[in-house]
Amino acid sequence: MNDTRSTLRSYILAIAVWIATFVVAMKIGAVTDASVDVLVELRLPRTLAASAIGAGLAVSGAALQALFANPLCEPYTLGISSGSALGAVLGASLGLNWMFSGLVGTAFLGALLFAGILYLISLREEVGSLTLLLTGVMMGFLGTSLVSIWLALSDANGIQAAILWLFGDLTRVRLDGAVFTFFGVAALCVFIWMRWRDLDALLMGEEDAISMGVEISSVRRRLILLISLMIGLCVSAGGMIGFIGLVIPHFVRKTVGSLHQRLIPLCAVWGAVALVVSDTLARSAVRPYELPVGVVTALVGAPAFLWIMIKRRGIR
Amino acid sequence: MSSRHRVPPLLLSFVLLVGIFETKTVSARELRDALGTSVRLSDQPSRIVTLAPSLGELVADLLEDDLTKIVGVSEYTDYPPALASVTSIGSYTNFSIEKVISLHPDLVFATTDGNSEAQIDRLRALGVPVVVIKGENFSDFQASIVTLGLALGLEKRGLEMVEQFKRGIENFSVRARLRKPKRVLMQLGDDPMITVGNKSFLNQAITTVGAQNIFGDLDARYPKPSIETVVQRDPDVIVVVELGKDVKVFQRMVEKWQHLPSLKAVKTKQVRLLKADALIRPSLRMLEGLSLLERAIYE
Repeated sequence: MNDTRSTLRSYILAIAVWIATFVVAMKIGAVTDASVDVLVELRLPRTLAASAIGAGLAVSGAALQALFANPLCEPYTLGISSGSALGAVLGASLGLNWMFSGLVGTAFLGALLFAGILYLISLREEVGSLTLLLTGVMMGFLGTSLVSIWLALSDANGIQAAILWLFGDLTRVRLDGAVFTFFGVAALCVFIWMRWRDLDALLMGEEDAISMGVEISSVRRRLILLISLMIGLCVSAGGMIGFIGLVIPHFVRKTVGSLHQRLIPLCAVWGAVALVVSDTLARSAVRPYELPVGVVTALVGAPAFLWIMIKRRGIR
Repeated sequence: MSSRHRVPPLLLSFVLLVGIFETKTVSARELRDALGTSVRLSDQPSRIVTLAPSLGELVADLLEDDLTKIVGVSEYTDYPPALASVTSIGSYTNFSIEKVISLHPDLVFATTDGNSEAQIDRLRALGVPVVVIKGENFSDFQASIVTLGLALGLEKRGLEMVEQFKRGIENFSVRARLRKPKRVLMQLGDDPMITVGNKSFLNQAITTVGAQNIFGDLDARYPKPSIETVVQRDPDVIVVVELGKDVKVFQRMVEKWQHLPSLKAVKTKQVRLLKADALIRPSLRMLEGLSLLERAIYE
């Protein structure tokens, strides 16, 4: 009873903070007395997309960490984001414009492909979590360098656009795209959340999971599919934004524990808060210029990654 | 013919080098270029390579009818039209050194505004006389014409062209003084939006026609400020600069501003497309480009 109440309280707190940061983000900008069109055309799409993408990345991170039983997994470190960016960039250069108001269809396929490769490798028994993590990092490099080929071949405008893909950027998001991303991510979050029992079981390790009656391979397959869709959606809207998926689950786990029934929703809301704050920083730190939001999340996230790794004193 | 492939490239370039040096030592003139390097030149250069479209255009202007002396140009050199059929040495940002050498030039023109210094140094190390000019503002531009004229042995023609350019600019200044300066956003690209800062000659183009660049305070050539700062600075006119053949991209840029109806330029219907091929080439055609810009801002 007490437990439910504290859970409820943590939900309310998180949502209140999200609403507050949302409002502040809508108020902050170069124009002090912003008119309706500035709010609706420039600030609302970004803030909405930042909320959605932050939530999506944090939930994907939490789920991946359970799936691979390794707290250092996240879309960015596992290279899935860069697969998605590669898909987007290849799609653009091959003229496959499966676009929906700023979202890119081929980014989904890229995410799916890279996640699939990673999954196949993870099926091999001798592969430990550190190997898997490094595999992901290498796949990330591979994806990024393939993107660079396209970069070398395109004109100056194309290069600018590709650089924004690689660093993550929310300036391109239009309102309809942001709304679509928001509801898409919300739906996928619910689908992932509905598997909280499976996620809990996976976190305990495969043998325990099997003894609890979890059908490991089908659970993994479904989760990989859901997570890939989520990452594909997030990257196609905002490019490669790193470390939200790592840092948020880590801190949420510290406050409410590792059970996914609570972890997933709280990750979603705090992820949204983190990216809205990052984006507000990104667009107000160096006026009249803007930083790509991925730079801000990496500046905070990379040291956090190291700190988590050192605190765990060695991963196997 | 087939045995030619077996000549070691090193030997081949050595032979070429000797050839170049020989023509050089016949009669030597010295010239100090925009980078302060002194370049030895032959009296009557007759095999000229230009490493940027603007240079092709300027050299053609100086040579008047004698375009056969231009034996190599960079890609996209299309004005005057006769230059479009001259051998290409590749794009100005990354031209082929071997291609330049194979043309046996006795004079190569390069610009700091686009050509890589490393590549210029390579050419010089191979014994090719390279004259470098600067193209960042109008006074650089005038100095370049003088330098180019000197290098070609056409000093008088060079000075004439400078006079012509000065007179043209003076005409704009006279009109500019009579005007209330309009505040202008010049847009070069989208996603991210690219505009013009005070390091670009385009900033000078804006002030020459009597207008004021809203991002003239930014110390860069082509900065990328946020859209919201455009709203904050609220220009009177937005000029979208149209380059190349794909017009649709630029029309879309114009349309996109309509989503921000609170902008003064949108309210007063002053978001305009400017065909800028003439404006962005630092040659005498720039005068033509300036009057197009003047019309786009003040029509």
